[in-house]
Amino acid sequence: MTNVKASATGPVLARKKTDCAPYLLLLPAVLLVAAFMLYPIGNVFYLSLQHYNPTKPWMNGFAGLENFAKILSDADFRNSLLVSAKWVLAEVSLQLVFGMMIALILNQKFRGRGLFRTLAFIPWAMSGVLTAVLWSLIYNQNVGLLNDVLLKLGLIDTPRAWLANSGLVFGSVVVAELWRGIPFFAISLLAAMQNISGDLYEAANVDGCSRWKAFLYITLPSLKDTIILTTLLRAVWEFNSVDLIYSLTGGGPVGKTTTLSILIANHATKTNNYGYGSAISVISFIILAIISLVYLKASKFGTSE
Amino acid sequence: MKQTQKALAIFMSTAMVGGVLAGCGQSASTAAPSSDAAQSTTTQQDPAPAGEKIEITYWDQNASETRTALYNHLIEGFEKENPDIKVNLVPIPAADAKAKYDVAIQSNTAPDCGGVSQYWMSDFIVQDALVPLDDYISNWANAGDMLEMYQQSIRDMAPDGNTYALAFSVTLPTVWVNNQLVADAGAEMPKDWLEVCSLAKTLTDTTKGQYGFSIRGGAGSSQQFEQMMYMHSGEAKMFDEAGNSTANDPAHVELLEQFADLYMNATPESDLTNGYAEMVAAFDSGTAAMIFHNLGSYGEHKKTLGDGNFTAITTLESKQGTQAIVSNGATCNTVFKDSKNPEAAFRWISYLNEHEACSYFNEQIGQIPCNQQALKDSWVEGVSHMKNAADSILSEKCTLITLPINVTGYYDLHNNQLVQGFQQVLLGEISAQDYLDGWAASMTQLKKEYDDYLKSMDK
Repeated sequence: MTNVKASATGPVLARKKTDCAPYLLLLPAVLLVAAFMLYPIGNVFYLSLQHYNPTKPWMNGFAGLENFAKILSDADFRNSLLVSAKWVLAEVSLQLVFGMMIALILNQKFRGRGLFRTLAFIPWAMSGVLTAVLWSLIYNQNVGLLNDVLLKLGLIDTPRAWLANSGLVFGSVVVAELWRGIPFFAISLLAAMQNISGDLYEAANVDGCSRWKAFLYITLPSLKDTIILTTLLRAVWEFNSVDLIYSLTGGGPVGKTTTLSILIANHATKTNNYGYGSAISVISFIILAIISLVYLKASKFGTSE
Repeated sequence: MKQTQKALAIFMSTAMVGGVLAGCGQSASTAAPSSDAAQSTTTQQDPAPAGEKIEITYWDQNASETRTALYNHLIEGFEKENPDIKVNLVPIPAADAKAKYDVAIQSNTAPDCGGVSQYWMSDFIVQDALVPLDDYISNWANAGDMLEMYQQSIRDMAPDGNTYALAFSVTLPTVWVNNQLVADAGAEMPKDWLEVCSLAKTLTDTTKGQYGFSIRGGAGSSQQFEQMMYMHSGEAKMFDEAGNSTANDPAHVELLEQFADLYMNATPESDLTNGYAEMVAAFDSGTAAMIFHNLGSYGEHKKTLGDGNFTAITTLESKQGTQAIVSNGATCNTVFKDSKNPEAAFRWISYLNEHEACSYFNEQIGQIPCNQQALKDSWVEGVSHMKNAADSILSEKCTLITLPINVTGYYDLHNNQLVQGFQQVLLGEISAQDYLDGWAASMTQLKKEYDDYLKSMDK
């Protein structure tokens, strides 16, 4: 009887031991995420309800929803929200279009294809600050490459201040970021294109399908999930992007390139106004979360046509 | 498979969106990693037992290769004289220095001592982060060599009247003029700010890509203009008797209107976003005939234009017929309350401020030493603009107008709010009067908050 009991509990204990193992293995990762994601996120929510500026201790304390109420009447916030929306739309759509074009070209068979694929990836590997230095030299009013080329081509009469002219600066920064962002789409789409069966194109060719129609009815539908995922990821990245804009223009002139992320950085690091900066972060989080969920739902991501 | 993809997408996008908040959360402790890195070399411990060295950490708030070499040389000399103390130098890039100090103070990890701009100090004093140095100074044999004008200005920063720093070097606001371009135009050196504006127009020839002036329109623009406008008005009081800021004095409005008129007529269009580097580059390349900066850029002009080809004007006549030095304070050395070895820290900063070290360091970086003996050294006498500046500082006729740097929030106001408005004035989007009225209202409000705080401290 005793033997029977022992043999019955043995596997149970063994299973219990086995059941714990995955959790123990996951524990370090969970702890790291908790320390570096959950705690800061929780702290931001907490600070958003506080007046907190270490250099003005007399103002510190519970603020309730005051910071959020202030946001509603803050012209800088409204301006930066608009700039962010323009920025994300311009960047994601242009990067997708140009990335698709490059991916289609690199998907063809030609000599030196490997080299061109490597070259196409280079801008993606460059840091935002380095890219900013490169483009600030290109855009320089007095010694910049762009003015020199345009003057020689007779397209402009006098050198332009690409980063100081309030009508030109947004487009100039968009182009610089575009240059850096295209490879992400090009590589992602190229990888997805290589998974499309050649039989489909062969069959379409036999049926007399043009290249354009093959792209429209075979390539694009096959890339649907990749396009949805990459555009969503890129939109979130661009929304949060700080490095290039900060290094090129610092959000200026006159707020023309101040995105929400730049505004948050300014409030938190320049003015020490952590309470208000956190409230703007919470609003940004909510906006991004809603847009992401709506986008995934509307695009029917992961479902077959 | 599709469900897995969908779950993955939702997870990834949620994680990415969460990054918005996590990123901001980190920004609240933005310099923490660097601060920690810096802290790794600091010694936050009790004084070392007899025979062991005390280690102290000193932050240089304006890191460069040149300065690091100079500090290392001085540390070598100090450690020979003080074999019981070891100084660890931590160079901090200028753009991040204030933020790094703020984070270090909040996390109780400030260094033993460090270099600071005087206009940061009110923020540090309010946080009770600095050690009063009066007792140390009273026991310091060479304390009498310090420049009283600047030490008084430092005492004025503190509501309790204590001395929280030693002025180390100072640089005077300066109009730099290209001699050749002025001579070519047959013009004369300007004697006041209105003449500067008029000369800028005379020296402009856009067909040759030559401009009379280069304005700093980007980072630091409002601070620089603040010096110009008080030089122009000669107004010595920052607030009137009712506590209202004098920033919108009619003379200031007049000067800003003149400057707005110069933009794009006598300046390059790119001046709108100019920082220090772009402005100096415009002058050094000969694109701009004049700029307004300080004596600190002398070395760069000398390197590119050559000695004798440019003039430094440090005093211009004000509307009141006076000549004034408008100062946003000195570069100072201070001791932080987090220090476990404040006495050793003071020994180091007082060594830096003594004749030999102060003279050596400031000669190499081209700034004015805040030490009376050093001001009489041959290198000061030998360089005309330095001699003029030193004479002005030592002269009883020249008054020092100190900007309202003691009001907490002064630096933040300039750093984050006033620059954009300055650009709007240059673009003609708002009037000079409206801009300066807004500036004055903000300063008045800051002053009121600060005064209320001081009153509450008294109770």
